[in-house]
Amino acid sequence: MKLSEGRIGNAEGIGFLGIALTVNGLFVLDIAEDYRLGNTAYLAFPAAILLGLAVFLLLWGAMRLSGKQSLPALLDHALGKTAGSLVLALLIGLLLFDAYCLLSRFVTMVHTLVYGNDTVFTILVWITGTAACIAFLGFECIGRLAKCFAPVLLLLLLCELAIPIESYEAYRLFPLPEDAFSHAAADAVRGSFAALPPLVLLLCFGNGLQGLASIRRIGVIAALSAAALTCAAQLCIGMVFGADELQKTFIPLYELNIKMVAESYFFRLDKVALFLWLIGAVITAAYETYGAANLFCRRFSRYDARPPVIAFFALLLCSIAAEHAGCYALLTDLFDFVHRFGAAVLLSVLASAAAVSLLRSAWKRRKLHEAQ
Amino acid sequence: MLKKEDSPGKDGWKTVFEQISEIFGFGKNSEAFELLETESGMPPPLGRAKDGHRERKKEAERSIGASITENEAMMRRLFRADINKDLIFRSFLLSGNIPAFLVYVNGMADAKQVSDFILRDGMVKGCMDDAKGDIASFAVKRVFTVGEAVTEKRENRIRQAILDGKTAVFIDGADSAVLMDTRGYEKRTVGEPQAEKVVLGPQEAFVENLRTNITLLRRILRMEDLVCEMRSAGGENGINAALLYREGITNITLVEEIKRRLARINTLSVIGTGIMQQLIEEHSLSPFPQFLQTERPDRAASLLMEGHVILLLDGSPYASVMPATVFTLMTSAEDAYMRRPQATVIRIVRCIGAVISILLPALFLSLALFHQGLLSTEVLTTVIASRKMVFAPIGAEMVFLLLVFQLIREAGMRVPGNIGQAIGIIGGLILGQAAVAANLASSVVLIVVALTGLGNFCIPDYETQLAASFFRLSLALAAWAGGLLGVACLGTVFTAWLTVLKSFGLPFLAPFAPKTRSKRPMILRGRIRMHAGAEDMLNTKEGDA
Repeated sequence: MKLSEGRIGNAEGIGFLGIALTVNGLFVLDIAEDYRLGNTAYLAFPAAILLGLAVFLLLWGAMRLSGKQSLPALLDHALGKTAGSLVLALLIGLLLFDAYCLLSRFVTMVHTLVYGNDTVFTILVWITGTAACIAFLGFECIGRLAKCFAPVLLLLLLCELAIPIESYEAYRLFPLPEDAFSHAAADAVRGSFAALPPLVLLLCFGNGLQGLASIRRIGVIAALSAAALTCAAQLCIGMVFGADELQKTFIPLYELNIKMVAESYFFRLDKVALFLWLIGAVITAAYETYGAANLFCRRFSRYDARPPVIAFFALLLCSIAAEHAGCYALLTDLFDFVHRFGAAVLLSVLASAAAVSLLRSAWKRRKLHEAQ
Repeated sequence: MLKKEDSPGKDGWKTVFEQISEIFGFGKNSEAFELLETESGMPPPLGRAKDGHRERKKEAERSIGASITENEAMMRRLFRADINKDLIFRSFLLSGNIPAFLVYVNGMADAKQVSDFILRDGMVKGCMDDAKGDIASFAVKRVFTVGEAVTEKRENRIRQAILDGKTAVFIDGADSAVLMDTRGYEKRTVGEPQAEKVVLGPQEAFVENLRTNITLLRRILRMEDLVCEMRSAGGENGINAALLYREGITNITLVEEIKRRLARINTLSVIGTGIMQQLIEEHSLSPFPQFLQTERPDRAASLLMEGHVILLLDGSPYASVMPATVFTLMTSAEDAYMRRPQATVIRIVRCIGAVISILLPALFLSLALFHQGLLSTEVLTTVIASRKMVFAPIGAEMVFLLLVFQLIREAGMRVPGNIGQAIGIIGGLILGQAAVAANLASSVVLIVVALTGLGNFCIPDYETQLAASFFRLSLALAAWAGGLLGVACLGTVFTAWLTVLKSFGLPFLAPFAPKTRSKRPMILRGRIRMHAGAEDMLNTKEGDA
């Protein structure tokens, strides 16, 4: 199979997964929705990642016990080939949806904040073209690229959070919603659509990531780091802007930059930061789309991941272009539906698949034990 | 009035069609020389024609006979002796009674050695009296007093040896020839490096002679595990190549892969390391070189010690080091001779220079064209004031100046020493000043290009400098088209390309991505350890240990 997987190490894996989870946590989630009743984003966002991590670990445990080396094999083992294929299709859909949300959000940001005079399509072609190139070059490329840019993005985030340190006021974290924890939990479940697919996708690369043990290590380290970073970022944002203000803010992190560094030594470096985050988003979109193409190839016994990569990116390009042109209200409604309930469906299906697989493995072991 | 025979007609005046045919030369056999060969058939309408050399069938290895008359006729036919006057055929009587003849290329073999140690010794009466059985072997053992002498039966080997400068002696009744090393052609003496000058360290450089180059390496590396495999490359031309590595230390898979690629070469055009490299590298479209080319024996020896493989080619004063990474290409020979902090600082400066060289024009264009808000008012005012009278758009101005820089560099390199320096000064100072005065370029853009040029010269490897120029120009065009978005996108694509690029299986960004146990070479220079273990980046035996 020429799936361009290659072999990458732990640092590369932590790099791309960390970038994917952090970028999704900071830029993809629906900001206005999260601040509608008060400020619990600093709990909800990391909780979404941790929820994803819990499902990931459950699936990992099931894979280890059943001896399956990849997620498609586990799903077939737990649910049968037909149902397994359906769940895989759902995962592919969610991965593409996640990439779509991320690219669309960044296209909007770049268009609104930097290139107001240019057409959206030009920006879209630049961004999607770059992501397509990276995905086309394969998994090894995505991993190594992530390793190159992960330290830069980490440093950038720390700088962005450190510069406005004098403006942090704890009172701005209030008001909390009345039932803060249940509110945060609901947001976490809803927000896990951005955290779950990249994490679960990791389970499909048993070969490329050099075994199940490496996968668990990578998943845990990346998810915990991303949870800590998103928590810190949301906490800092919450201490600078009130919840009412945040409801009207387009991208809080960008707003944080623009307010705090204006007329300072880092005069208007906000755009540089935006383009660095854009590189993170491009890597994430490439990872998710390549992952979707890889799963597609495995399921349909295709021998080259590149044609589906191109097809998926063409699909993404057309969808985002159509969205920005104001077309197809029906699809927008569908996207809204997936945005709200997609993760819940995937969460329950994957969790149940893991549970079934675990039960079947335990039952098989017991039978074997009895026979002996 | 026209006579009958002058009037137009079938046999008299030419018809119109004939006149047109004459003008355009229809139906005429062309006697002009044509370089475009179509002997192997017409080229296909799509794609390229097959290479003529590739179509030739490999000749079966033929052995020579025992008859001296036949052997001489064969040699004369092979070397076109009737028109080829630099081949020397000398008949003589071996031991005073056995007919023999020798062949060598005039100028390639040392005539004094031939007469002193072959002819004089061979003509001693009775020297072959005790010969029984294989008389060629007997002559090697008892008659000829040349250091390297072997017997050879295969005709193509004998032919190749003669062309290498050896002398072949054919003896009547012997079905093998005696090949003796009498090479004595002119060669350049070992001189100073031209492209890799250092303040500290040895001042020797490779020359065009393969033997001398191997000796230069062996003088530094006095280890018994240093292997020098002689191979011929380049199809029938069979240029001599030496593959050097440490047996038992260097990764054997790497050595086998290099040998496989060398064996695949079947073209006559291998006349230098550059051509050889293009034929055996993986990514021929990559702007980055996948070899390190060095003219310094000390540097080659150091890399050899770490487990790299080195290819030397006869007629080329460079060693090709395999595999190479971006960090290897960014190191200089002098780094190892300096103290650790000094070398580290210099390496950091070099990296900053490289980054400036690649990114500065693109970033400047982006800021000036698309993101003026990112510049402070003072900087913006200066840029605007300096461009007040310049008629060309800033993007065109930048691309024009970058091309002028390449022009000056290229012109300076191709002309002899002092004139080259003069061109650099004229280009840098006078042309720059004149361009600003004539409003062809602004002083700010000129400074940006000058800084870019300085940064470019910080890159130690020549081919990497050219690769940086390619990236610089591409990024500048992307910045002109799309500002920071273009730079970010194209920069990411270039980095992605670097991540997948491999030099003989070794990722180009190693040891950073992927990480290896050994961190060398990277930006910071590591300490020189007491135990000289080979780098594990290359999966050497010492690395495993």
